[in-house]
Amino acid sequence: MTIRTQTLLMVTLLLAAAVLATAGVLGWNSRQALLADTEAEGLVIVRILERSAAFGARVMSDVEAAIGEQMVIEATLAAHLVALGEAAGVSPQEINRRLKQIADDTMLDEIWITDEKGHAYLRNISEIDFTFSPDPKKQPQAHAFWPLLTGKTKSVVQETRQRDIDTQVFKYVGVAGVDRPRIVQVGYNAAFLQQLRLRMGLTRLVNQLVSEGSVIAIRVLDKNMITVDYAERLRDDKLPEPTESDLANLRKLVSEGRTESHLEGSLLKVAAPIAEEGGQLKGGAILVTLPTDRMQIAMRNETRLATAVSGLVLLFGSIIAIFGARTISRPIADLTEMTRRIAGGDFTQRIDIRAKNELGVLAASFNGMTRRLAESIEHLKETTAAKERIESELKIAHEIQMSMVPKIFPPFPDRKEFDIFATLVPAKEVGGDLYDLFFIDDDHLCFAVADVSGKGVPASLFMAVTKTLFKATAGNGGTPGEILARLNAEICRDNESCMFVTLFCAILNIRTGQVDYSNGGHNLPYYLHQSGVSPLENPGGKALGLVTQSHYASGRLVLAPGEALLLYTDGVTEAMDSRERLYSDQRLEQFLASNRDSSPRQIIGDLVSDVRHFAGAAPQSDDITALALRYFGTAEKMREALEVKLTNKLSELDRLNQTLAEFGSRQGLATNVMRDLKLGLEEIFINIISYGYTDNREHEIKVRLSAQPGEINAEVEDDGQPFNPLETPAPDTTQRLEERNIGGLGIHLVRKLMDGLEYRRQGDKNLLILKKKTEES
Amino acid sequence: MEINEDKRGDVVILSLSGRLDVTTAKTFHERIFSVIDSGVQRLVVDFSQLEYVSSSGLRVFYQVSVKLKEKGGRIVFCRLSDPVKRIFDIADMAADFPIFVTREEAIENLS
Repeated sequence: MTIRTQTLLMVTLLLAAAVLATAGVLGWNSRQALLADTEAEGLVIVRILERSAAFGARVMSDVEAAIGEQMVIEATLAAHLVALGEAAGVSPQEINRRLKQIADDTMLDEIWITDEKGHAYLRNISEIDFTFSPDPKKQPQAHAFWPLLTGKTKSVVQETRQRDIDTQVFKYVGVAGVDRPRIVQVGYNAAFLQQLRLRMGLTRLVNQLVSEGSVIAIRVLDKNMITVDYAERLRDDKLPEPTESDLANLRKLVSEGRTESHLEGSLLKVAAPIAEEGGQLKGGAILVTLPTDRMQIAMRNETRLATAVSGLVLLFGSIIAIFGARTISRPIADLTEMTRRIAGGDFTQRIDIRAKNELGVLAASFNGMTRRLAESIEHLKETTAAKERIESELKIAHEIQMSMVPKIFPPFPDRKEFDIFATLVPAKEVGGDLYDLFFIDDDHLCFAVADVSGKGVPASLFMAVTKTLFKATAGNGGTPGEILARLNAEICRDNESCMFVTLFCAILNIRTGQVDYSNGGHNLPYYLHQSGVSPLENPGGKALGLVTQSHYASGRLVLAPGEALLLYTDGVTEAMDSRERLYSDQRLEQFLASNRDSSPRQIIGDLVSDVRHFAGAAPQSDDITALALRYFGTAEKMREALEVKLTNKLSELDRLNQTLAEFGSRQGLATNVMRDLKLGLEEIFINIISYGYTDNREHEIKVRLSAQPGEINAEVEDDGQPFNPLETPAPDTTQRLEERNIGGLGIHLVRKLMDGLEYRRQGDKNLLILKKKTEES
Repeated sequence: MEINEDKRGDVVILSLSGRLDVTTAKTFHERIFSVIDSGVQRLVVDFSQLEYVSSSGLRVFYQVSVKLKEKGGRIVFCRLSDPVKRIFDIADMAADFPIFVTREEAIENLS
């Protein structure tokens, strides 16, 4: 989801929530307001009803009081009329007729006149014969008139009420008789009063309100919660009668003097106690049921309005949010796109955001970053190009440097007097080491190894200068010491950079094996001879290039045929392994001791491998240069056979071995060839001195070594008892089984290791010739 | 020649270097027999540094073998250098002596 969508969604949701909340609150408030309005309306109705009920009741009692007084008059008139009539002797039938006539002609409905005993013998209704009784149980209503007979009271006015005998509402008034104790009672049918009540007062109002339609129903209850008035508009569903719990609730309201209203479906019911103004209804309650249609309509309208407004607000809000989100997210989208392009390698992109906010700052930084990135890459390209150029130049320099040292070996294939091999392994592309070898004249070979201070290009340039100067200087003749002194002077003259070079230089006379040498502060070469390895004696001399007037002494040694020299630079002995341990002089000496019989090429190759193996993963810290020279002597010497005369003593084995070693190195024999020859000669020699002689005298054993093409012959001559090792040796019964095996073992080894055996018995001498091929077949 | 002695439990390891020829065989003979006389019954000979061996050297091993057989001990070889292996092959030493590539194998064989 993009930031834009997120922003948009968020703003829209917030807006919607706000609008809905506002609409909800407004709607609820207006609903409450409408409800309160309706309730107030209901209360007004209650108050009006209350007052009108009070007013109606007062009028009605006034009217009834007036009627009562009127009826007392009428009863009194009737009493006098009856007294007069009876005094005049009018018959009761006549009187009754007259009474009936009065009742028929007037509003009076009943006239009852009794005798002393309460028997109503005079009356307008002939069908009913009524006698008053003082017993209230018998006559709940009529007994009230009995005191008229006893003279206790002159008149009795009863309120309008329903009669005991039927359901009619009557008002009765009675007076005492004027001539004798009598009850003179007149009765009005009070239906008109009821009609009057309906035409005015509470009932009328109730009915009117209901019929007008603004009220659904009104129920008026007295303090006993008995309905005294009820009107309900004719509707489809009739309202239910109030239940006991409803009435209990009303009683509670009355006792607390509280008004309550509640919604029942679409109807609002307002219940209120009737207050002081309610007169006789005080303590009762009025229940008004009002329609809420109006409110519903108002609510519906309100809701419609709110929905419309909300929709509009949302619509405009969303449009604003869309534009807002676009405005906010566009720089981010731009930045994203730009980043993508930069990642793709296009650094020309710039972003145009001028906003004053964080995005503006970000865009500015981004532009700056892109510009610097482009610059850096440009710079890197240039650097890389320069580096590549330098590297390729260094490679060329390396090639040039390598071309400056002799690389073709053997360098002088027609010279059999010596063998020489050298190598230079630069630490960097170009190095400061150097070696050289050249003939000064037909008999003198000049060879040197040098190490310029420092590494890399400066060292290699200095090395080139040194090499050129060295060759020129050596060509002018003189001893090595003189050569170094002159070379030093030359180097010092133009050496403004104060570089220096250590150099060992030697001149070999190939006829005599004599070596004259001089050393300018260089590592002393090793002398590989018959009895081991030792460094050359140091004639003394400083490194070249330090002091202009410097003296260089010469040293001298004579190489016997087979002996060798190893020249090297400190890149060999100071080669370090990953734990920064040095290869060391000791290790070099050990290496040379074990490899002193090898050919120069073999020695140098194995030495470089050994140094590399020692260094392991550690980087080469310095140039490695090594030069090995083995002297064979002149061609005449070479072909000479070596002969040694030994006596039959075990200690003579050393001499035999020395002779063999000398011969081997003169011939440049390989180590394995030498080892086999040594073993063969040893076994034969031991065999002769062990078993060849029966006496204890000294005998001579002659060993002659000679080289044939591709083969070495070792002739062993002794004067012991005849013994042909080619035949199976006779078993020696004096020895134990294991030792017997060994006795044959020596000869067995010889036969296996040699390429040929010849045996001759010459006079009284055994002559055994051991043949060993110098090259692997 | 040089003889280095090393101990692994009750196994004695003799490392030989240099040349085991008729002249050095005597020294070696004395040395190895003094080791056996000191009560060692299990021997390993490490040939990795030995450049040369002649029948006089081989003879010593046969003598040792006889001696150890008497005492109920054993001798085994390990890490033959190329020149030694060549001679051992020719002399068929493997027929009489157990030969192992590593020291550990040799020691394990004795244990």
